[in-house]
Amino acid sequence: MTSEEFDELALKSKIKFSDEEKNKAIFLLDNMLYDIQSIENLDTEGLDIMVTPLQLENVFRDDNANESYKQKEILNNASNINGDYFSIPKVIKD
Amino acid sequence: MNDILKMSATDISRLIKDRKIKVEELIQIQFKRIKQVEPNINSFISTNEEKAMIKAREVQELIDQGQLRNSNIVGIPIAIKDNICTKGIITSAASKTLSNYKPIYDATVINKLNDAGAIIIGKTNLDEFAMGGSTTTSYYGASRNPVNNDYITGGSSGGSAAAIAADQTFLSLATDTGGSIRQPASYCGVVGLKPSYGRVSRYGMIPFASSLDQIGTITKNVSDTVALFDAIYGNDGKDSNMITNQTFSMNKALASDIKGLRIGIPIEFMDEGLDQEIRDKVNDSVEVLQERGAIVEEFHLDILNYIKPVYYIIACAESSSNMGKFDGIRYGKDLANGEDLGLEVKLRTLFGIYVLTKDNYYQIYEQALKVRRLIKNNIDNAFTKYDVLIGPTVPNIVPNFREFEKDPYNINTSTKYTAAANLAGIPAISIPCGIDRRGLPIGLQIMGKSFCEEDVLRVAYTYEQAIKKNR
Repeated sequence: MTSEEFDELALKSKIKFSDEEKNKAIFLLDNMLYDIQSIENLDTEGLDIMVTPLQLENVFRDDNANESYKQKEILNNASNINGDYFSIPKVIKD
Repeated sequence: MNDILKMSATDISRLIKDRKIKVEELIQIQFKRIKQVEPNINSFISTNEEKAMIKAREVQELIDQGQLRNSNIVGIPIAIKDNICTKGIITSAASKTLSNYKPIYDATVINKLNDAGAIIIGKTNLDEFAMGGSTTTSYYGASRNPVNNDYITGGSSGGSAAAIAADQTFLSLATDTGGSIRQPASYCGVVGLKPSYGRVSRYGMIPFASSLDQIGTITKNVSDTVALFDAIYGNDGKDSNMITNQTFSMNKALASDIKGLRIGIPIEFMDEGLDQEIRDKVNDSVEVLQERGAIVEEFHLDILNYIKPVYYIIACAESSSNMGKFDGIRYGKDLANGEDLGLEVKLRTLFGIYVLTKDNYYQIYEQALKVRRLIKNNIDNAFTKYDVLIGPTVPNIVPNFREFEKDPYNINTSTKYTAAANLAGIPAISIPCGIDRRGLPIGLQIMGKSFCEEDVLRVAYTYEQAIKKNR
């Protein structure tokens, strides 16, 4: 993986890497990409994908009203609140 | 004091129910032990002595009133991996990102433990967000192996395994996505069970890879595992990936009888990648099971050679999706600044996003999902011939910190041995089966058919009883 490819991927992931981390991460990612090559040519013709070990059926629960969490409790874990609301960083920049 | 701490949870629970030991006394003794050894082990991220003592008094009152007679873990101290939500107690997943997160609800397993009268004494250390096999990537520092503090505990549930091995608790809960219960259980010389996918509710568990994650147990012996599993398994409307109408028989699990049981040993578990000393110990264990009447056969399961790449693709893809919720708005800190997150988590997230990008989705991710089907089909086919599969839990002896730092990714070779059970959703247990040349434990892994925990536990229990008798 080139430095440019890494930067593009990091941008997509929205996670910042220091220069030291970046060098280490490129080395480790290259190893991971090498490892996964072994399954590329495995014959999987006609096989369905498997997303979960269980063959699940849709299950609906009864729509019973229960006591809900208190708003104040929920807001206690937020880093920024404004009155009774979560406060979020500005999304559209000037 | 140490005599009590060496006893099994089920024996102590009986004494508590017979009112020969008071719950408060036991909890006091337990915290004395924690304080004594914690500076050397670092198995806990937090402890809650005050709350534990209040709960101990409440449970004692119920016992005095003749209640909780049916629980096999009543009054027993239990430690919880710090990626399982506990109401009002910080649940950090060993990450700086969540270092101030106090859940406003209990995970379903916590509710079940409270109902059974167990006493939660603290939250145990892990690799950050359970991503790792060493418990060295924790924001709270590495845990150390109680058998020898110069050695790593394994991970990601290193704190839960070490706390059991150091007699800091009688029971612990942990999570397993690719071996995170069984590998540290093997390294620390204790018993670790990853139940079948869909057996134990994950509601309230901070997810890593949702189609692989499972909450399970770490204990001193198999009968304690059975008692704890019996308390936490079962359908829960809050986890949609569960099977309804489940049953589990403690009597079948604790029957020391394996006459005629068919055991398969995949040759790929015993190949050149395996340490000779571990191979010898596994072979010795197989002999013990044969002497008890099991029919043992080696067979090829070539698909095991593809476990590691498939696991990494699926686990990282799912974790990159799960990590998206940590935006720092409702709780925790925003991951985007990059400063509050360790490199291992960043790396796995990045790799997950890579395999899910438009160019790679079909060639890498979808191919991995198809190979996962192939793995499941091959394992299901093996179970038409065998009742359980056996092998080593890990291929290498426990590394010390110096060896680990020199080659931190060598421990990932154990993925081939442990992650098959997660990809196929089957139950698997690691039990101690010997000591290596440096005095560190070796683990034996037993895997069973989906939802047949009784078979896996029965083999483990029979082995444990046979070894006890031989001693």
